Amino acid sequence: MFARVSSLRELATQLGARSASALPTRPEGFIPVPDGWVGLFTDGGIRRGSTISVGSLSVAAALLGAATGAGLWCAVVGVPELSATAAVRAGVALCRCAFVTPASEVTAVVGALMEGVDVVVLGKPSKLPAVVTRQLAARARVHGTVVIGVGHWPGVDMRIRVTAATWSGIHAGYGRLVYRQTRLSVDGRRVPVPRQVDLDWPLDGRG
Amino acid sequence: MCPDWPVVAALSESDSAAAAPAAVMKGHRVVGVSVSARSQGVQVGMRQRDAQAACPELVLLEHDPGRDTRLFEPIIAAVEDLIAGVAVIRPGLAVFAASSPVRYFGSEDAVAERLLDNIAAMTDVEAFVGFAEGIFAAAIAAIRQATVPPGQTRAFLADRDIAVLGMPQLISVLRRCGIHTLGAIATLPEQAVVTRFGAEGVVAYRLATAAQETQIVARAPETVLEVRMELDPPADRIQYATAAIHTAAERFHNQVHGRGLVCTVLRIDATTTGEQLSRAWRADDVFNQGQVATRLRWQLEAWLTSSTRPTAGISVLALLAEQVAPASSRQLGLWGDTGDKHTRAAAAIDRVQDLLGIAAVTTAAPAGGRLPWDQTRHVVWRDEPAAGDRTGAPWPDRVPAPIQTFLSPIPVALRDCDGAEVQISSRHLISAAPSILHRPNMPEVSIIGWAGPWAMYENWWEPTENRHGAWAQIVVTDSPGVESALLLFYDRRWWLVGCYD
Repeated sequence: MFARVSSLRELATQLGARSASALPTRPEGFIPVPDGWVGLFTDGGIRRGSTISVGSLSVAAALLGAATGAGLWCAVVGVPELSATAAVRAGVALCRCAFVTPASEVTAVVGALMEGVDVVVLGKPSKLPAVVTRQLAARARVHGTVVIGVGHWPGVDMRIRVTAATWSGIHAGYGRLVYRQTRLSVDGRRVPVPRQVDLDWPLDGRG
Repeated sequence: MCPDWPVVAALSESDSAAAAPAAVMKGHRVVGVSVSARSQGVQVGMRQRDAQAACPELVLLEHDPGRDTRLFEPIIAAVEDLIAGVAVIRPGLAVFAASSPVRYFGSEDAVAERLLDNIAAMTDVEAFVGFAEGIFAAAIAAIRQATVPPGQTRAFLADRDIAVLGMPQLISVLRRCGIHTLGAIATLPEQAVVTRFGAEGVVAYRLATAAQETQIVARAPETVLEVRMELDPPADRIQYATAAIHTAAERFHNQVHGRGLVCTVLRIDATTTGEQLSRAWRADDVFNQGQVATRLRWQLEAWLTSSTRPTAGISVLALLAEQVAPASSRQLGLWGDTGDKHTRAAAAIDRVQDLLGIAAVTTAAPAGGRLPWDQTRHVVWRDEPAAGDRTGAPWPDRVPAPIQTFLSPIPVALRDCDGAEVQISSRHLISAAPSILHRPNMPEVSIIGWAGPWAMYENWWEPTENRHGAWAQIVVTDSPGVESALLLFYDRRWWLVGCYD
């Protein structure tokens, strides 16, 4: 009996050693954010392995723009309404961005993507069962992938929202949308002190 | 093998002299270099402006695997005249099992001589033949026209510079560690290589120690794994076969994968009226669904555009797995394949494509068009985008696409301050200033800014298919989800096209 336990322990150590060496070693670090946003983050960027929820696609696109601009790879899962033309305006390098239409196996799809892709944008995370989103968050931490959920996502590490916005250039019946003055706010579980930053955000350009 | 094949092939179809310094470009990156350009410092992976700085008279050529495949066909035909079982790895590189031809012709040198004679007689291309255990060593041997006796592969590779691995990042790290030859890598303990250099290091180590053969457990499948498709009408141009290519690749992948196998050598057969065409492709790793589709497209394009093209369209298309391996095993990636293919990200995206089917994973590209939903074009991942990018063309009256563009616009109502519906007249005049936006199943919101209307008039030259309406941008207060929006007045009502937030 004891012999068996000790052999099991040995096996466990061996297995542990093997899986530890087989784990992909991701560099610890941060993914870059748009220039004007640096003040939002204590570390000047978004820590790899974080989960983020954003209230609007323009915030997601600006984050993608900064990441792909720095040579990182992104995947957009289940957000068919994201306009590529507008994404290019936000600075997204489409050559490093894959668009995925998942049928059902969202966990498998996002899990597979995390093994190689740096940023995954996920549409409507609130539609997924809480257990699935928790699994995804855990895998994101292991792989060092940043997952950006578009919409409400309870229990997320960080929420980035536009809390106030005024559009300029548009009047009663003339002009056009040119830029907006926005207040971006960050709060959430992993944000000890909520932060805000005010910026002018042109329609044709990154924030 | 034919060294620098993409450059040789591209030059042979261009006006430039064959000896001119030339580079094949893919997206402003060098993917192939001619000998004369290399001697002036141009390297694979360089950016276009760096390459041109190194060699100002550099001839830039476009990357086109279809053309490379087509021009490589006659060479393979010349090899197949003498030897059976030839498999193409990529245009410019093909392998065959040497034992039977060596027995038949007497020696390796005799095989090489006969082959080169035949290639020279049938084409005007310079080709090289080498013999060794393992594809990696054989290709290096081919550059030197060498024959590596069995068991000597590791010794043969030991003096080679690590540049032949074609893994730029790993090579630079190795050089900084003072490792310059494959022999030096082979002397390292394997466990140390794994921990220090990761997956790429393992590949390099296995290649350097000639451990390749033990990795490959490929065998002929026990049952016939075949996908056969009738093309009706027969495809005489590659454009007509695109849908069939994807379907065939998907079915083939499902069939092989369904048995827990992966395909390593693939045979593509095509039948026209009275002609049979056939070609085998070997994967440099294992074939996934997207790679099967790519090889199939290259091969069909080569057949359909060559000078000896079949007289009729292709009516039957068949994919046959010649060699398979258990799905859990992975072969070593071959070296020197530049571009994004071997990045981890692309591999992860490939896996998702395998999981969901080809069409579920796309890359997007901006496209020409006035309507916001025409301005995005999705291309299947790994597919070459279709020609005819019209984004640069002027599109008068084009409105900036909202970042969130609904796939189908949402019907909404606009009311003025008296509660009357706001309409656009046939002369594009607005009936009143809009002040309330009413969306289905949502509370009303008030409009604090609006601009427009701008006329939208598409296909006005078509008597029946023309569309006309008007655009407007609005800013609303106090509504979750919509703050600034693009509206379209069309068919006598308003539609919410998208949101800029």
